[in-house]
Amino acid sequence: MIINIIQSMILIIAAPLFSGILKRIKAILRGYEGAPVLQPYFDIKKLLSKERVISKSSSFITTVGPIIILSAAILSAFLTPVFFTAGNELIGNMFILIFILSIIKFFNTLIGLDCACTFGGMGSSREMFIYMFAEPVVFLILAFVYFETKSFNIYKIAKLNAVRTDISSAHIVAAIAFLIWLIAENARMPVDNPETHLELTMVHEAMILDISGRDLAYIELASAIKLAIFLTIFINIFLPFGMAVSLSAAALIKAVILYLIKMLVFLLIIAIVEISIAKFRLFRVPELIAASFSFAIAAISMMYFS
Amino acid sequence: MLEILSAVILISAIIMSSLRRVNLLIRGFSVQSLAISLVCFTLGFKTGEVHYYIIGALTLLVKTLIIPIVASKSVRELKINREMKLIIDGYWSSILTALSIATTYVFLDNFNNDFVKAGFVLMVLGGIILIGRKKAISQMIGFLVMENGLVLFEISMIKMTLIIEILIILEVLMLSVIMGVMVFYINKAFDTVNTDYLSNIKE
Repeated sequence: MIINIIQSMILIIAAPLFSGILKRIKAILRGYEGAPVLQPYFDIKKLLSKERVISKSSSFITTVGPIIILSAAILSAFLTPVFFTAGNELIGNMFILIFILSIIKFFNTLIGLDCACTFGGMGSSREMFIYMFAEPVVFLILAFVYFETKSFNIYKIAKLNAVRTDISSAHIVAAIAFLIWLIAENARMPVDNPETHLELTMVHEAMILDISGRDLAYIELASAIKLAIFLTIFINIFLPFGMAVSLSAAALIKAVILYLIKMLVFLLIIAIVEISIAKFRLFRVPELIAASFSFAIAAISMMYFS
Repeated sequence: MLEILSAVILISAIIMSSLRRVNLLIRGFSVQSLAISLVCFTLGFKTGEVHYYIIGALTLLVKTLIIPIVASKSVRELKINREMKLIIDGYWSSILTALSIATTYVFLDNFNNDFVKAGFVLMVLGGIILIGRKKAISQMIGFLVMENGLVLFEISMIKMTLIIEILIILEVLMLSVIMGVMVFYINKAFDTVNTDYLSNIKE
């Protein structure tokens, strides 16, 4: 029990580090030095010391929204295994996890609409457009995971998949579907450019455009935690080999090292994807997500009719 | 190993069914053929039969090397190397792919072999690529994907004689060469390879 709390605390504390590493990898691949990997911590520290500036025409949503977003992100971190799972926890239902993570998206959208800035409304409408196509895919992937392991509990899924030795082809196809969904949900490159502030292309940044000071720090921290959680869920569902299932020191050290290696590999993959392809036109994003849908259906039918 | 290869085959087929750039279609086809020839080599290594090796070597030579080179040579002559107006666009093509894969797996429920099902899926997806595109060269790729499905189907299910297999591969090679030449001349005559313009010949 106590180890679950400790691993989730480590995940929350390390989340800005992962986004710093991602930025650094992208900078190195593009051929320049880049900010130090601890830069997100400095940014959050700087923003936390500023006062909050709230527009006069905004309602209570902007006041409470960033806190709710941060608390939803932190709560979902406590519902995921990171490098240890015993398999008999009562928490960790995948549906609860997915819906808590969609609270973040919902309040982002409301904040975008709240102060009647045109960019915010545009960003919210685009975000909901993408979300509408992306949401069914994750339920198909959950159905696949249920057919594979007969469980919706992520701790149990991670344990069952960690001791599994044979890997089926449906598993790989579903992993690809989940990866596309992860990229769409976290506003990464083919769907949305996380670095831009150009009004024609931004989706996620447009919604938080008029948030400043401490609130911005909360939202930045929440989106870093969200990316780390999604990658952790991916690793724990589809690649959990080497995860610690017993509380011995050797297993825990091996699990932590393997977790870091897997995380770095996936950050590298995301960085390579981000620097090598351009952002899609908004109306071609459904094609990408439809491909993910197609992968998910293929995985389910391969699992179910075999 | 075989599981990873069959996943690669299916993933490449699903991605190809929604692509609109001809270069990427050709690259996806060559990746798929490489996976199929590796399947042949693995099966040959497991069973120790020689004809798997021969099919694998022929697939590797013809479909991974010669056909992509011929096809990309004729793509280089084109002015527009992507499909502009698809008959079935990318989104609906993916949905159709998903539905047809599910239907195939339902119908082939009794076969306990991954590659039979993957072969049927490739045939159906090749059909979708074939009917959804307008450019002659991507229709050719659709036909070749169907043929890949046939190869996969027969190495796992029926024991065709080697002669027929070699004849099929030879036929595909001839088809691709003829298509390459034809695409070049269609392009020269009409300034496009859109097959809609072929009806202008009637006058």
